[in-house]
Amino acid sequence: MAKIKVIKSGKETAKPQNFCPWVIDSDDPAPQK
Amino acid sequence: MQQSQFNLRVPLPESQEVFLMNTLTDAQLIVSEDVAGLLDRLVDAPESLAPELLDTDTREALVTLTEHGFIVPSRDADREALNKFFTDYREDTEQLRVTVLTTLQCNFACDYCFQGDHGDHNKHADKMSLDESARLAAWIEGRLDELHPKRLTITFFGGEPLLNIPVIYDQAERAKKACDARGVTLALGIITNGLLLTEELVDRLLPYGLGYVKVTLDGDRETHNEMRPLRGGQGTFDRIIENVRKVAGKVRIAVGGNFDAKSVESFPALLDFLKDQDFAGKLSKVAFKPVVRERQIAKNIIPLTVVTDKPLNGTCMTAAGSGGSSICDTCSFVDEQMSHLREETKKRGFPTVDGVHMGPCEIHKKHAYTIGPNGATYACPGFTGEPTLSTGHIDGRSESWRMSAAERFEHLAAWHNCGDCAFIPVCAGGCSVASHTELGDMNTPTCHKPSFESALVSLAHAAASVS
Repeated sequence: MAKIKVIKSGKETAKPQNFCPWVIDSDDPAPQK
Repeated sequence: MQQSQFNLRVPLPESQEVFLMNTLTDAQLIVSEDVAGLLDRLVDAPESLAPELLDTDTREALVTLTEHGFIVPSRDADREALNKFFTDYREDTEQLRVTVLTTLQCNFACDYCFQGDHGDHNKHADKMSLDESARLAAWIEGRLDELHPKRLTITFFGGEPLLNIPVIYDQAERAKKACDARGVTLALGIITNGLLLTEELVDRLLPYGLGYVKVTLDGDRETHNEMRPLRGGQGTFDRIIENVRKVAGKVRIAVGGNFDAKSVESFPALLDFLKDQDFAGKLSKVAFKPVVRERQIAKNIIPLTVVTDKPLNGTCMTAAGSGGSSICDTCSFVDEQMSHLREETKKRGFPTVDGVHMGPCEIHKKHAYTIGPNGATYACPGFTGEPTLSTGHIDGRSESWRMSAAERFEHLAAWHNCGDCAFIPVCAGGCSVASHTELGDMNTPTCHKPSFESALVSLAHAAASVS
């Protein structure tokens, strides 16, 4: 029986942004649309 | 029709389900095994998916998979969507980001920072003057008028940024005025060693939009004091903790840390210590990363400590990028340790990075700038140690070498060398600083695929546990 649970939509939601994960590892809260 | 290149899957055998993620659309689904099987049939037996052969459930499942990006018309369509994604990301004008290096001076002598307490670095290290700060504020206003962003984010960095607090206040005040006049939201952040962090500083900056302060702890008390002593050799751990305790309720506090082969084992003890503190629940993020080495060294040597005869010209070594590389024998060590520390952090209930959404970073954004104390602009904080890679100057001077550097960054696309890796949209070829400093070519990917893969498994199980 085909079953699909959407954990996160790929349609219109903004992607989380991680502006500098490697260098200074800033902690900006991701802007959410 | 075919599967997207950016599909990833993690089997969840206990529930006979499969976690599906598409890194380009960021869709995350938990599906029954037969639905995941439809994706396989697209490859193995596409004729079996002819509409007339399918029941309603299956047809609807295919529609849902398509809507979320798991099924695409063709490989070319996938590539086109990826290119659009990077172009949109690069050209985005919603946010203007400026990282300000208030000074290259530092009061620490970090074990992995070659400057350490050697010589008279601080005597000669650049420090932004209030005149330069005023020019920078005018430059920022110019960018605001050009871009009309919704948000201006200023991150203060160094050296140690709190060694030049007057410039921080000056920038905050001027930026606030400029933003208020234009209806722009201002967000400020400080990345500091934490020694000079005070309530007074936080109280004064909160009305201007101070959103977070990040401090660095390199292991438990003993290890941190060894790794990050004052220039006189005294330990710094206790004072940083006390400073954090005083401001933790007022502003988001993120804790970062840099590990190397000899310090990595002390991080779980640091996490235990943090967990016992009264401010534990107020930490907004706890995340650790490897110390960089500046160039590739011989095989069979664990190369995580800095091996260099070239300090970063005063930029905090924290900014040197990440260790590991696609050609290095010890990559797996770095990836294993990053994954291990991430899990240890989660186990203690601290918010941390999920390890999958790692990029693209701001170097791929056109309207993200790093400004050195003398007004030179750079593509990201990790390149400020190399003045020849400055991309411009806030005074608008036009110099061919800066224009040439800007051109290089404009076309930066290490992911072109990543083949059909599904992680490209969340990695973009890794840290360009690490590629440049360790591999000698910023367009060579710095690959941490094993770390992404283990993070994906974690993400899948976390999704399954709440679904």
